[in-house]
Amino acid sequence: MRTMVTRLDRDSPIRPGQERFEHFYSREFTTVAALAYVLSGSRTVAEEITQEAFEAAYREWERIGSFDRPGAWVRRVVANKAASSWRRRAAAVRAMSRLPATAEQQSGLEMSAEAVELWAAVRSLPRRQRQAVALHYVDDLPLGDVGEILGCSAGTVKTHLARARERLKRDLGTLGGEA
Amino acid sequence: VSIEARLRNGAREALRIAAEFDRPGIEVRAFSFARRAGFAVVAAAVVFAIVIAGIWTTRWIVNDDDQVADQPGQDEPFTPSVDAGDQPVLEIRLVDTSPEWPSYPEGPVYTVMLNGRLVVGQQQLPETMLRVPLVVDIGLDRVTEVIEAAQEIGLPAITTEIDEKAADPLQGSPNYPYWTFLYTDTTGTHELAVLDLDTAAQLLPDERYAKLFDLYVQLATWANEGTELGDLPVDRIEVMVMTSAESGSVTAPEPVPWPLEQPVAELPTYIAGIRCTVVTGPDVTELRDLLMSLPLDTPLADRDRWHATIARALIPGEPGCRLPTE
Repeated sequence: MRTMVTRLDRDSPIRPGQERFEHFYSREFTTVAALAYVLSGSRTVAEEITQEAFEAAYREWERIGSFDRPGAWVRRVVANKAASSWRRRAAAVRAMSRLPATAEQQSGLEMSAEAVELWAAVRSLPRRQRQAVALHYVDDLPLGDVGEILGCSAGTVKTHLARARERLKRDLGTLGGEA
Repeated sequence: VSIEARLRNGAREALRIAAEFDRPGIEVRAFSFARRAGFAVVAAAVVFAIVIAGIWTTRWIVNDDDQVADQPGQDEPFTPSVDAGDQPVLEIRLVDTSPEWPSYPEGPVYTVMLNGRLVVGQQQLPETMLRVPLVVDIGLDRVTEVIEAAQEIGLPAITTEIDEKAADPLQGSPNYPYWTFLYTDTTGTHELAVLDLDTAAQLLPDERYAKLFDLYVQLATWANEGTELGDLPVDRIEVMVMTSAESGSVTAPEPVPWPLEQPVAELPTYIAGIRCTVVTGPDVTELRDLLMSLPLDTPLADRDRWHATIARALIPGEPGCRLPTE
């Protein structure tokens, strides 16, 4: 198991009222990891990206923890990392270096064939559309929150989602539903 | 089953699996008093050495008339010349590094070359590993126009005022766009990095900011005209290699043998974990043909290790393997 190691000065306390990183990490990890998983298509890469994002937040926690919504910051980092071919590839290479250590854990739960097909189709969508789909459905975020993370309005998110569902309906040959 | 239902079901599966992910522990290593004291002593020694070296160097330069006279092009106005051949004498790059980093292959890049060609960016050939420059012919008169505009803005003058966040956008907000302008004239290459045009507006006086913005719009306009798409000969290829410690990958297609004589392990280090080399000469043709025949994610195998690569053809005069802030 990896360990996040950061030098922290004991004289640099978190600000009054600020959540401790450990609590934040414990609460947000699974959802953020699932987001990375569906966007990257690889469990190994998703673990790598998720850990990178939390490490980045950890190093800057005094500042990031003071944000109204530090979870949005981490999600934005993950959404960008997972949607970037360069970053996905770099994460894959780093993850490959630890394959022996993670090989045993790869034998755990796997996605159903239907879900694999679905998320592969999502990853073939344009970047913003796939990010919007992942944030809205996996993270169950309302349109406004998705827009905050992606840096656009709720209306734009709604458009992205509508177009994404149309495209998915066509690609997967199934019936579309309402948001 | 509706798309909506499939997405909801797929999300539940993803969350269930993600709950099992490797979750690293947290360890905090605090500075001890002894360590702090040690750092303080070392820092003081370094500062002292720098001060002494600075004084010594200044005295040496002032006392050496020839050295002062040799400072290149200090008072000489730059004049474009058509005799400079294919080498770029002015290079202005607008690299949007957000949300990718490093992302020079992804963002818009405008490189103005003396012979009237504007390199708009790097085009990924479909389903291949090689990126090639995308070129628009704009004419020598426009090159002169760009040179004059860049000189009026005085890009190098504010380099030192750049927010340190520009060095690593992820240390700031993860999604700030920032542009790097590399401005090359006869005195050398200068750089201006700004987080975004809004930041530039804060750093530059209104008049100079307006010119900077105009230049950006002008370059983008010419690039979008794109009526005369040209091509540059692929005579040098930059290859970046990300090295794995083990062979095998959960996602990659079948690997192919590393094509260069020099082993990956002997290539120069670009940044930690990434090596980079510029291929020239007779190897270029072979490498180009290979990269254009391979799917994008094909790993290259060398000495039982797999390597992910990113390759792009360099434009004339471009050194290659240069860091985004270099």
